[in-house]
Amino acid sequence: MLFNSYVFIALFLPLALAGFFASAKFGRRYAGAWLVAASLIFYSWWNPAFLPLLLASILMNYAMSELVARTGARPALQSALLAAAVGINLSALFYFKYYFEVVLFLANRFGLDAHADPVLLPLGISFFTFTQIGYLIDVKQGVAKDRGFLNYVLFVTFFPHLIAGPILHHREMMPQFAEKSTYRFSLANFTIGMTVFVLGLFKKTVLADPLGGAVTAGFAFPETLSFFDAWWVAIKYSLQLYFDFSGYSDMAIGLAFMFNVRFPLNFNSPFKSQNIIEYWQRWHMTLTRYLNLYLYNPMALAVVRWRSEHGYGTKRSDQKTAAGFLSMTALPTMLTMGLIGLWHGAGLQFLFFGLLHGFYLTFNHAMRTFRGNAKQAASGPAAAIKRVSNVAATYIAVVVGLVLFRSPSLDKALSMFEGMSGLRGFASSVSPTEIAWVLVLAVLIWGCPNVQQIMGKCAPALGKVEATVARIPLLWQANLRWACTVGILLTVSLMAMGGTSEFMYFQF
Amino acid sequence: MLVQDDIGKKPLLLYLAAILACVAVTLGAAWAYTATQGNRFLESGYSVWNAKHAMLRNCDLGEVAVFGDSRADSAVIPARFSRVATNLGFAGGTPIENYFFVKSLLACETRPRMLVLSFNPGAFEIVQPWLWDNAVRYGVLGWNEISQVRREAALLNDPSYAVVKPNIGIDGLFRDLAYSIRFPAIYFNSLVESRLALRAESNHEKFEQVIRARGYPSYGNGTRDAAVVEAADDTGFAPLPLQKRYFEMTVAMLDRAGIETYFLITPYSENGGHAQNRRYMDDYLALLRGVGAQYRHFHLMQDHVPLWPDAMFVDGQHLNEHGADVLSRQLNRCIEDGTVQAATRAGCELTWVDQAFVASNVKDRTRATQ
Repeated sequence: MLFNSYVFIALFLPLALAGFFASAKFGRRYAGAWLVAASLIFYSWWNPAFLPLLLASILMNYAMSELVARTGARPALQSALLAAAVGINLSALFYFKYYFEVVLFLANRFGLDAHADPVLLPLGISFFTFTQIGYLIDVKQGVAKDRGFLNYVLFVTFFPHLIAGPILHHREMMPQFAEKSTYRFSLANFTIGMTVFVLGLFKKTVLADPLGGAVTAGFAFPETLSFFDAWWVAIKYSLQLYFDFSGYSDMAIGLAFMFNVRFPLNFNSPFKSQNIIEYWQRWHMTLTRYLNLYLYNPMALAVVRWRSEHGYGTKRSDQKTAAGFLSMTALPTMLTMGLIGLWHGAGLQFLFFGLLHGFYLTFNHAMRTFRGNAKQAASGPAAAIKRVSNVAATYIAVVVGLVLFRSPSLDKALSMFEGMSGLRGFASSVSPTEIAWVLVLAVLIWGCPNVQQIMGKCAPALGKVEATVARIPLLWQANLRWACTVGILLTVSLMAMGGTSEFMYFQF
Repeated sequence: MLVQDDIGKKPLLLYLAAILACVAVTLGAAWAYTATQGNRFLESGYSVWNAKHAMLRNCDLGEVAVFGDSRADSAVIPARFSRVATNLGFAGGTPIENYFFVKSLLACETRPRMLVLSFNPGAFEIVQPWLWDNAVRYGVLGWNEISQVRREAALLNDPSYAVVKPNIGIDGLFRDLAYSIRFPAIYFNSLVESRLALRAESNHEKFEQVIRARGYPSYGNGTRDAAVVEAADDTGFAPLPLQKRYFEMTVAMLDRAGIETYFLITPYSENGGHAQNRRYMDDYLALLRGVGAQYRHFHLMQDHVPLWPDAMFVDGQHLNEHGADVLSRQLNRCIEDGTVQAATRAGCELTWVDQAFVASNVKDRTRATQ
C-alpha cells in the first residue's frame, strides 16, 4: 500500500489510528498488537506472498539477538552467532536483490553457463534487513537496552517507515514504544502530523510525479538527446527524486507523529549544500548515519588499528601525509560509498554512482585536509557569490551522479553523458511552460524553508534544523491562513492522485 | 515531551474544522466545474464522443448507422454514402459500450434501416480501461450501466472486468464508484494540460466538425511507413466471455427489432503483424460466423480479412482519409447495388483491387483542396 493512495488515506489510516487509540484503553499490549497487525496488512497489501519473509526475518533476528545477548560471557560464540545472523540477513538480501543480476552479468560478460530466473524483490527488504542488522550489532555491543519482543516487532514493522524508511535506530524508537504517553491520543500531535503529511503528499503527487513522464522517456532513449535536452532531463530527474523521496519521508514523519512517535529527520534541504560532505549530511540522512555507524566507522577504526599495530602514525598530522590520507580517509570512504551505490541496486551503474560520490567526498576531504578551511568572508557580496557558486557546483556534481543512479544501464548512462557533453549538438526542445514550472520548483527548493523548518518549534522529527528558523516568514501556526493552505494543498493532492498522464489515444 | 498539548484544544479544533471546510469548498468547486464544463478542459476525444453521443441522443442517425471501434471510426466517411449515414464508431470502443449505444438507438422513434457493426478481434479480447476513461469519464455511461457490466462479469465468472485499472490506478468497486460519481481526480491531468480552461475553442471546433461530418473525425492523412514489416504474431484469438456476451446481446437486440445488421471487417495494412496471423483471423471469423448462424438479421459482409496498402493507413490499424474515402465509396456501392445483401457469395469483399480508382480520387481531392 502506498501513502499516496485513496485506500490508504480514506480507509487504512483512519482505521489504524482509531483502532490504535481505542485498543490502548485496554492496555498498551493491545494497542501494540493492533499496530503490528495494521502494519502487516499495510505491508502485504500489494503482495501477501512477501509477508512470510518479513515474519521469518523478524523471528530469526529477534531469536538471534536474544542468543547474542545471552552469550556475552562467551565472546567467541557471541561473535560467531552475530556473524551467522548477519550472514543470513545478507544472504537473503543478496538472493532477492542481486542474485539474478549477478548471474546475468556473469553470463553476459564472461560467457559463463549459468542461469537464474528473475526474483520479485520483496518490498522494503533493504530497509528491514539493515534496521535489524544494526540492532544485532548493538545487542552484541551491549547498547540495546530495551529488548522486549512487542517493542522490537513494532520497531521493525511500524508501517510509516516499513517500505521506504527512514532507517530507524532502535535506541530512538524502542523507548518511544515503551513510553505511556505514546498510547494517549494527542490532538496537537495529530494535527501537526496531519499537516506534515499533507505537505509531503503535495510534494510527492503534485511536484514530483508530473515530472516522471519526461524523465522516463529521456532516460529510456538518451541517444536522442542533445546537450540542452540531456541536461534538462537530468535536472528534472534531480527535482523529481528530491520531491518524491523527501515528500515520502515527510509523509512518514507526519504519520508517525499522528501516533505520537517521532522519526529522525531524513532530508534537510540537501540541494542547499555547499559541498558534497554537507550534501550527504542532508540527503537521506538516516542512511548516511547508518552507514557511518556500522560501516565507515568500523572500517576507519580497523585501518587505524592496523596502522597502529604496524607502527604507522594515527594522529591528525599523520592524516596529512599521502599514505595516511589514502588509508585512513580515502579507503573507507570509497568502500563505504561503493557499498552505498550497490545498496541502491545491482547494476554496474549503481556501483559507479557510489564510487563517483566516493571520489567527490575524498576530494572534498582532501581539500579540507591539505588546504585547511579557506578563510570565509563573513558577509557581503563576495561571500554571497561564493556561497551561490558552491551550492551550484555541488548541485551540478549531484546531478551528474544522479544520471548514473537513474539510468537503466551503464551504457544508457554513458549515452546520457555523451548528450550532456554536447557531442550530439545543442538544439533544444524545451518549452517555455516547462521552464516556468521548473523555475517554480527551483524557488521552492532554494528560496523557501523546508517542511521541518516550516513546522519550527513543533519539531515533529528528531534532529535539528538550521538556527535561522525563527526568522523565516512561513512558520506554521494553527490559524485560518494555514488551515486554508493545507486544505487547498490536500484537495489538489487528492486530485493529483488520480493519475498524471492524459489519455493520448486521440492525439493523432 | 512528545505530547504537545500546549497549543490549546480550541485553536486546534478550529484549525481542523477550517481544513475540512476548505477541502469541502475547493473539492466541491472542482467537482462542479469538472462535471459541467468538460468542453473547456478535456482532450479532443471528448468532443468527438460528445458529438456522436449528441447525434445518438437526438436520434439523428439517418438510414445507415455504423457502430464499432476506432477502426470503424477512422474508416467510414458518411458523406460518401448516397443515403444519410452516421459514423458512431468510438475510439477504444468494444462490444460492451456499443451494447448501450445500440440500446439507446432502439429507443428512438425513427431508426436507421441498416446498421453496420465493426469490431477488430482485439476488441473481443480485453476490457479496455477506456470503458472508464472515455465512456464513464465523459458522462456517456453511468453507474447503472457499469453495474450491469459488473453483474454480467460475475455471472460469467469472467475476472477480466474487475482487474482493469484505468488512469486513476484503482480497480474493482472503488474504481466504478470514483468514475461514476465523476470524482474530480479523474480529470486532474486534463485540467493541468488545458491550464484549466484553454481548450474551449478547439473543442467547440472539433464538435462542430464531427457533427458536420456526421460522426467521422478524420485520423489525418499520415501514412504508415511501408518499410516497417511487422513479423506475424502467433498468439491465438481468445475472446473474453464478457465481450462475447455483450456482442451477442447487441445482435440479439437488433434481431428482435428487425434491423438488418451487417458486420464489416475493416482493412488491415498489408505489412502489419496481426493481419498475417492466419489462425487468429480464422478463429475471429469463426466467432462471427457462429453468431451469424443464430440470427436471421445479422450478416457477415466478408469471408476474409482485407489487406490494403500501407499508404492507406496512419498506423497499422487505422485508415487515413484516403483509405477511408476508398472504403466508404466501396461500401456505399455495395449498399446501393445490393451486393451487401449477398455478402460472402458475390461481392462486397472490399478487397484492394482498384488502385487506379484510388489514385484518381486522391488526385481529385488534392486538386479540390488546393
